[in-house]
Amino acid sequence: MKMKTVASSTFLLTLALLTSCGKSGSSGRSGQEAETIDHEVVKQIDEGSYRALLRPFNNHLNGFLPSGIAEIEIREDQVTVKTLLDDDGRVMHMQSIHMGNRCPITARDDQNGDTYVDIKEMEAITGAVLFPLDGDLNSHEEGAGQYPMGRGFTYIKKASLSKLAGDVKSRTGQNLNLEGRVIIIHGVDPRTRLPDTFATKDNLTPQAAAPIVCGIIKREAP
Amino acid sequence: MKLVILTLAIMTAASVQAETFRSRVHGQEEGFVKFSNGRVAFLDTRSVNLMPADYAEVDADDFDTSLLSFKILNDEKEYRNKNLSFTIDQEPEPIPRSEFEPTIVPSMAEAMNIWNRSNPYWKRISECSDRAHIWAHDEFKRTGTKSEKIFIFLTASYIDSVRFKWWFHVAPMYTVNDNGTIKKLVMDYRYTDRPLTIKEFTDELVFTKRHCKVTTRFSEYDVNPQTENCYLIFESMHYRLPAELHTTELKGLYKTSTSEAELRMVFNMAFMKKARE
Repeated sequence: MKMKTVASSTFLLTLALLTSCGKSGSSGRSGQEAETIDHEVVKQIDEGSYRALLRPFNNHLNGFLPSGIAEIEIREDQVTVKTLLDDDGRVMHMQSIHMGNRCPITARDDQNGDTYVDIKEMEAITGAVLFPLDGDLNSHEEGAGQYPMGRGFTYIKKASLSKLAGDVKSRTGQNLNLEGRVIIIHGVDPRTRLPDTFATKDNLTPQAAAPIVCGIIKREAP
Repeated sequence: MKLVILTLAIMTAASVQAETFRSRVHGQEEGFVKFSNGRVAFLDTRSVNLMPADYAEVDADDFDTSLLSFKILNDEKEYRNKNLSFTIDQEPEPIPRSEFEPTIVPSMAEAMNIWNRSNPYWKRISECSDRAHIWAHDEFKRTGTKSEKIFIFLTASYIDSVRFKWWFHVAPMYTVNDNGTIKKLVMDYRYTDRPLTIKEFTDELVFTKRHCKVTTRFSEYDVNPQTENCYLIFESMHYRLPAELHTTELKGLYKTSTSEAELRMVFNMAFMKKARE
């Protein structure tokens, strides 16, 4: 899967833009469709309310413990994603839903012994990106690299379930299957000192790539 | 609120991004100020005169929490801490614990049930002391389980060395029978993803991984020997704030209950109403 890169855009979402909505499609797809077996994974029913508590790891990056909440609502063909982060870095926060089902534990998942879980060590646990929570959830290309910015931010985006699920399927071969997936948010102040062993990817700075919070998505209501 | 006696602009560089919060001043250390909400702000303390009684609105730099400016807000109705400075010249005698005994949770499975019942609908801007108070009392109301609070206090030398941005933290702590072994498990539902042992909990905040010295005296922390990174105080579920630990030490008065009025007030400060059971 080719990950959308931050470098592809210099446009940062402001809080005002974050409340704007993508177009809501009308493909007629219902979340109540029959279960199908795909890639040895039973497809979940999409429709419902989901929530994830975003908790810090890599606590010693800058002496502050960030935390947040993600809420996802799927009704008929509309997906609404809301993420809240409370941090102390007024930086861009790349965020995405990953294929895996476990959050990293710094003490356990730091493979190179530098005391941090960098983005590569993180993806060994969380899996690759299922879809980014960026400027446009409907499309792989549109909105690429546009992420919320701020010390504390609220991100709200709406999308068409059929478009989002179709995009995910075509790029990753995966069903959406949100329950149990992992949400990650990245980004610390560019002045944060990191060791040379702190890996990055996709031309991101190590600070922009640094994962700071993680949460597992749980279904709250059908 | 009667406003502003003093405004001091320490640095006004337009490019600096600031975080603003309001809190009473807890005390001043060399190089930083401690606020009652647990935050610290770094500054040259020789150049300012913030006192423990002061209630201040603070602008702190986003990155390193250096103090950019502050205003002192006066309000006669504000509760004012007494001066919390202490001097000790010998090893203090431990103060006797209250009669409070925590319930022994019968199994790890039941401990996980307690964890999973924790109210996840906290307000974004809320204090650890308030969240911990509600979590502990919610469980007490549900099942009668009595828990303790674990207070961790970070010393000036530690805060300065890692530029840590809080000087204390508190969470509920349960006593659990894990297949015949009695354990203390800390349940900090906002910042950790599972119940932690005391050492795991302190390691989340003390990056040197040094053990924290356990004490019964808040003053032992407050004089802040530079040789330690952190102190721990274990108290009953009824204690919410460091100031209450201080009162117990000074006056020998234990907080043995929590009123419904206090719980209502604390709940409203820390949690969203829709989640109230």
